[in-house]
Amino acid sequence: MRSPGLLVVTAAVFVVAFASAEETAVSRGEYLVFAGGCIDCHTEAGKQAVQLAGGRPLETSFGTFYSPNITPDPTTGIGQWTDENFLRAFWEGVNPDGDHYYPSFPYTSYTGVSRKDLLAMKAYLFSLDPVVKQAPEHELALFISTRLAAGAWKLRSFEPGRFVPSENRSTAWNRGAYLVRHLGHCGECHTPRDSFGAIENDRELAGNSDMPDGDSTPNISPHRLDGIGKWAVDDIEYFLDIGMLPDGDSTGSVMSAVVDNSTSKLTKEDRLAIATYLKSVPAQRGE
Amino acid sequence: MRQTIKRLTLLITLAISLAAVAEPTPEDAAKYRQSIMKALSGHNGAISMMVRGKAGDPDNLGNHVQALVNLKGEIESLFEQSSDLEDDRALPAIWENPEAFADAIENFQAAVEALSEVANGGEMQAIDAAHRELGKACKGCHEDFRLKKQD
Repeated sequence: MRSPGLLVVTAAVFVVAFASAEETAVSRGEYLVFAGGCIDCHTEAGKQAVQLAGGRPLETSFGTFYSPNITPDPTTGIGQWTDENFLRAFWEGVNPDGDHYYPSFPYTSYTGVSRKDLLAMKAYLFSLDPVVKQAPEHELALFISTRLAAGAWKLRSFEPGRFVPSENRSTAWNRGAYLVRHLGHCGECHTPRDSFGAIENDRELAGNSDMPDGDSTPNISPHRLDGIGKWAVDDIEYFLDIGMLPDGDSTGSVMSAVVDNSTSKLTKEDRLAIATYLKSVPAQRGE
Repeated sequence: MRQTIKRLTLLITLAISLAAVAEPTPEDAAKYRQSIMKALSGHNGAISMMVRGKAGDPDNLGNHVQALVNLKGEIESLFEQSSDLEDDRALPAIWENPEAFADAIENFQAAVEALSEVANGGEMQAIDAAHRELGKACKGCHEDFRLKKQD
């Protein structure tokens, strides 16, 4: 008889190692959920709203979208999703039933996010308390009210693919590009859209005057007069941490919530990486 | 007689100027409020340059922190009067929700106090941290009580 003690010890070590790997994924996932700006759209307004339980309306020129519940409730949330379901949603803009998402879910940017990061985000979301809360149906203009329209839009305006780092650029630049273009999906609000609502990539970060809820976003390309060309890299880092503009005023725009729920929770290094990337894109006139 | 007229003139002038101070027009109240806010943001911006070692003599840091300390007590009185001027970004929420607004001001005042305490120590990292907290307090209040605009 071999020592059963050894077996127990081995099993215990295995369980502990597994638990700690799980914990690492969860805490990494939490960080990535902050970086991905998930909380802003998937949480209703008001201090009592449960985080990530969805239901927030987004009023656009195409109609009103309601964000879904992404807590792990099996019926009203994403509790039954497999890893593959989760990856396909982000990479291809398709829900577990195979229906197309509307681009109000920014899979157009998230398509670049890595498998490892997405699965960590899923691990974190699944570690949350499930909340029973059904999001209302979207209220959309007739011509886009079927998911087929979302599919047609996708054919015209969506290019799937993971982020590929550029060898000619620094680590900080690549990290910044990943965060700005994909996980943080900055361009979804800061890059203008054409009449079909597709992002105009050749005008990256030039600002958008036709935002949901009647808002507009500023040009954050490095144009000195129209954009943030006068901001130093660490001015941008400061802003993303505390919302202070270089003149000492503090933001009171909708960006304030992004600073609170997302950029202020990142490491200083990641904020500097974002700034490094922002300073590198072509300067855009206007907006 | 001459003396009496002189005295009377003085009295009337005084009364008028006192009245002006006691009851500014909404426009003037808003202008004054905006001036104080600009002063705060000016010192804030200067401090941020110093703590990052970008510009400014660190020996002057205390002056700017002291200016914030001096100004912080005046904040409540800036909002005694509302206005519906187009360029006044003070939101009705200030007067509709006075308790939450008082909390936001208290946060700001506490953050200025905290900054002032570490500023005397001269430890830049601690000053930077306290200053970032102050920035968050400013933003917190603007978020709920100032009309949003593009930055």
